[in-house]
Amino acid sequence: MVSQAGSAKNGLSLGQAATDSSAAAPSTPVKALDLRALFTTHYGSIWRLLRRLGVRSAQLDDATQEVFWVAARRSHDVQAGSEHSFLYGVALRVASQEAKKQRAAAPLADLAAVPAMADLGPSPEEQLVQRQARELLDEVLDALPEELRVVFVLFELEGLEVREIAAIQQLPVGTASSRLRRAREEFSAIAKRVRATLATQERRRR
Amino acid sequence: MSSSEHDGTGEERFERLLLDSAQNDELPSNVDAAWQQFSSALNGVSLLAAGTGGALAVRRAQRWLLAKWLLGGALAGSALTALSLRPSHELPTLPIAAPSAAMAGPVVASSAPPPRIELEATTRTKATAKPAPHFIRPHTPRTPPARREAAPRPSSTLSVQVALLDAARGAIASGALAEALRLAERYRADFPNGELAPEAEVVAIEALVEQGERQPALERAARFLARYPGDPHSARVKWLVR
Repeated sequence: MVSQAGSAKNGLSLGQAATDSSAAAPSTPVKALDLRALFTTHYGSIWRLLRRLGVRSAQLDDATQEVFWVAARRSHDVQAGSEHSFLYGVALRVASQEAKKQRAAAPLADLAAVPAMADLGPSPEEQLVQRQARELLDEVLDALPEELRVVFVLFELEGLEVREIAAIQQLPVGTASSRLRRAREEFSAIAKRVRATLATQERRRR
Repeated sequence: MSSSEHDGTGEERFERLLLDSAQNDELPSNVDAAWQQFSSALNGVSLLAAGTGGALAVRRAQRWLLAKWLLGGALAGSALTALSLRPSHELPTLPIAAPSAAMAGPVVASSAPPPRIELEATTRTKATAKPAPHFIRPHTPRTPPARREAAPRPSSTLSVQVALLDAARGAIASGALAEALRLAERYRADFPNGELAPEAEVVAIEALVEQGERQPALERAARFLARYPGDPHSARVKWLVR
């Protein structure tokens, strides 16, 4: 690993020999972007965010790299201090594209072949604690319309404030806020029904 | 459903449980490997891009990157090795035909760094960690079936319901109203007591409205409001048939 210092002139510091990269720098950035630092600092959180936004495991690594490709391409748009917001914004778009691809790839062929919700543990809660809460969470999130899922994930799982969410999505705060309210209501309603199903099945097994 | 099961506290706890389950979400551990991959690709950009400029060069390089991964995997086998280490919980558990070796090509192309391996070591719900319904991406299997875990499918039909609902919503979004209606009806037939029944019904009502079938839409809206009083979608349903 070669020092990163040399290539910063391109605004794209690679941390590896990048002496030829002047032509490759996506554009002339206002200030140098230490891409390596950006990558290593934020890769994990972006990866996790994409997962929470519904990107399937098989696509996660590629999707995460795609986010940083965009950052490299648009290094001049990345403001110091707001790298995370920038990456979040890009990640939302990448996740949205992934969601479209996933939908397009679902032929809805063998629906009947899927086993009924079954073989769960002693009680809904215990069972969930053991194994399936996370999986169920994904499924309930999947059931939300995309624009609601995004605000819900950013708020409830990523811990962002509504103001930040609005900024990242370039929405009025009021819009973000009302989406969050709807998202919570829908999440709540679906979770209730899921719980009821689990409880019913548990009773049937007894 | 007995009322004792449905006290607010229990439901709130359940919701909390779902949300809290994400607190332990793993982060990919091998960021360095991901960086290596990324930076060598970017270095590839610089070699390729000499004499050309800007985003075009990067786009071109992305294709080059893809080719590089593909070739690298095919020639050196390294990507394939990585692939074989990939945890099988990510596999769509297909009851349908096994992927052929040829289909592994594109997989190698997108083969990615080790974070997943770490994920496998720590994931609590191995075979079920991937809620993707089995019919998602049947054309992009990640490994041959022999490597698949024998563990049973995830527990619920919810992912299937979600896929159906998603498809119905997608159909509406793309203006395929008849298809949306068909999918919503299919949902109703396949999951008469499904957890997403209200959502599917909203899609049906919306499709009817968009089709200009006002009377049927009104009737279904009325039934919806009677059947699901206080449902979060009530306002939307009223708005749709306003």
